[in-house]
Amino acid sequence: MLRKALLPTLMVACALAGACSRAPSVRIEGHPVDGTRPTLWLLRCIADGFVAPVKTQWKLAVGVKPVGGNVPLDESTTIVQPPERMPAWAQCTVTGADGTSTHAVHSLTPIAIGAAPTTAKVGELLLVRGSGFGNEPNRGDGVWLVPPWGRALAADATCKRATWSDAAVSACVPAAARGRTWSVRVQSADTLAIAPKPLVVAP
Amino acid sequence: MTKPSGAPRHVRLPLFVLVFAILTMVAPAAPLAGIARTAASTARALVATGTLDVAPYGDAVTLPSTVVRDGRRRATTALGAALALVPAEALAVATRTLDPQARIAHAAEAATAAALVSLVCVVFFGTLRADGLGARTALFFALALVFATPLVWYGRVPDGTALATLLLFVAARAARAVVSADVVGPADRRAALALGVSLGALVVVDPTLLLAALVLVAWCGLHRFDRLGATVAARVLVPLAAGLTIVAVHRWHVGAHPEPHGELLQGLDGLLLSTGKSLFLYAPIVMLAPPAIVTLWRTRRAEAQLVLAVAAAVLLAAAERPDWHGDPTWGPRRAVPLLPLALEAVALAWSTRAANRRTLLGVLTAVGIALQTPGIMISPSTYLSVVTDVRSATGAPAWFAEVPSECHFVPQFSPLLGHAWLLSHRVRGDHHFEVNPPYLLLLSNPPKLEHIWPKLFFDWFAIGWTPLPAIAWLAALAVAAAAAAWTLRRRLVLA
Repeated sequence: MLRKALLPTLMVACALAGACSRAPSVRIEGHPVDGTRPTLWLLRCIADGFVAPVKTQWKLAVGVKPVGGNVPLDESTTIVQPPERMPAWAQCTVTGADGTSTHAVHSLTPIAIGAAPTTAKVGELLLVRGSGFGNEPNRGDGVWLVPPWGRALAADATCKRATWSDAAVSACVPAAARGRTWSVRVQSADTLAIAPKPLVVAP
Repeated sequence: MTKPSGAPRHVRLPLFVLVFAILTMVAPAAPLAGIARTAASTARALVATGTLDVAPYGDAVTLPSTVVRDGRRRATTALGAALALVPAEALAVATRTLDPQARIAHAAEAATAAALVSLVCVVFFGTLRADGLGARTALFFALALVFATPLVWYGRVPDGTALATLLLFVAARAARAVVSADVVGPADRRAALALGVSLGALVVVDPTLLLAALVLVAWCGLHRFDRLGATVAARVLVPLAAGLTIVAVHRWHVGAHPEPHGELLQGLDGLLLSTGKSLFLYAPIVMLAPPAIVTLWRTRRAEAQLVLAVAAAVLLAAAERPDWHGDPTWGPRRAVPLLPLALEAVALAWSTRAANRRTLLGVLTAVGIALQTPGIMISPSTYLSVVTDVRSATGAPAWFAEVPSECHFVPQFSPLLGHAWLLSHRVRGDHHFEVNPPYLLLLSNPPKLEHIWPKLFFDWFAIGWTPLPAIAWLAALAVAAAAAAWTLRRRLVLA
């Protein structure tokens, strides 16, 4: 009896441990290294679901220097020095043994929202200015409208005039946001910036 | 095997009050950091918004083990620790206007951890009494467990370690009760349910301890296979499966990434042998556990197997993680849940030894208490920031950048030395950190570090309070501790 019951328990444990197969995905974990002047960034490229062996390749924005001179940019972890007073990013591309390839981008500027609208109508373009949004969105990145209680809504990034750059992101207010107050947030590469003031969407 | 039973009722309450009052008297001043902050933020989010969104309370650096998904930042673990903190955070939200500096909230958070460690102490005392130890010996080991090991630090910081320690020990105790039951009856079924519920809660509090939970189930199955009824098995496995389901649903809901893997050998080295995190260095009394288990193997083999198997499961699962060290904390956080089991083995094997061996026990306990003192008086976050400053001042800022935990393998950077060094500077009011620092051997020209002085405060809550409430609160706690100690002594003498 116990033996029979142990099997499903172990199967759930295996699922929890992440043993189940997943679609190939890449993400970058990056943060400034404490106490460094000029600030250095530690970047980790984390791949999941690829057929081993995987190949990693970093691509750095102009002005970004890898620490240690001519170090190869094909290891999963790297330390870089971004240029001062200039937006910069790092891109990691992972290729599996079967040729599947995916990439992720991470800004090398701390993410922050400088200005965002406080009122809007449904369908209106929402322009959020700030820094550290990255040069292109990763999967799941975007402008999010988060209520105090309940489900968050993604602003429509497919609407006309929607744009994405390191210092400004724009997307349209979705119909479901009508008549409520929202916290405006920008999600970029597993980082999040929150607008200082809430957004009221007209009824 | 003695059938475990509870502590005598008349001793439980005074012992709980004594330990709780002492731990609350030494509550910290430093704000929560690391996983404790993540747990507290999750609890606050639950109370304030009914969601798990901790984005308003910090970022990826200040809130470890969190992920961003759908515009929200949520913790991937520490769900059990967060749930335990809900009452404290509800109090924090309710008193926000009355207490803008959140002192009541901070005290309530610390009191939660203190209550859990006090419970560990009471359950441990009861188990030793049920094992046949005398009341004084059991009391000695129960107090040594709390005050001569890093558990005292986790009685001040609510990061889930105290709760995991309590649940693992209760589960081990229940497992022994299940195995020792001769016939299937109501008491047996109660023990099985206690085992299942504690294991289910254990994986919710710390999913890393899943392996230990499965080992306990396997140990029960192995030793009771011939008389295992469906009722008993269901009472063990259904709550465990419920706990696993909660963890799986929570991880799916927050969009947790697969757990990363570290270097197993480095983790084992760190948890057992390193100068910065070794369990044996932080809790010297545990050095007596290996010989005690050898003795136990001859007299109570099944229990020795249990201790060894659970210890192996806890250590392997913890060592395999990249954050095996559990920083910023005092001592080997991820190995702390083992302490009661290890110390029970020591108590069983050593309580009957000759007087000279008992002297060794006393010396190791005293050394343990002395080692915890600088850990309590200086916040681990403060020392780790000093290590960062030293690293930065060397001119090689990327040193340790990839794996900051490597400092735990450099003897000169051991927190045991570092905290004592910082404490001596604080006590003497000495600002000259460049004179004889513990890392002098590594750096011929040590940095001055003058800027760390404002960060170097005694990690004691009363420092930040206005004198009158602080004195009143401390006096009330001291009276409670004295009354509990007096009652405990009287009742133990009468017993």
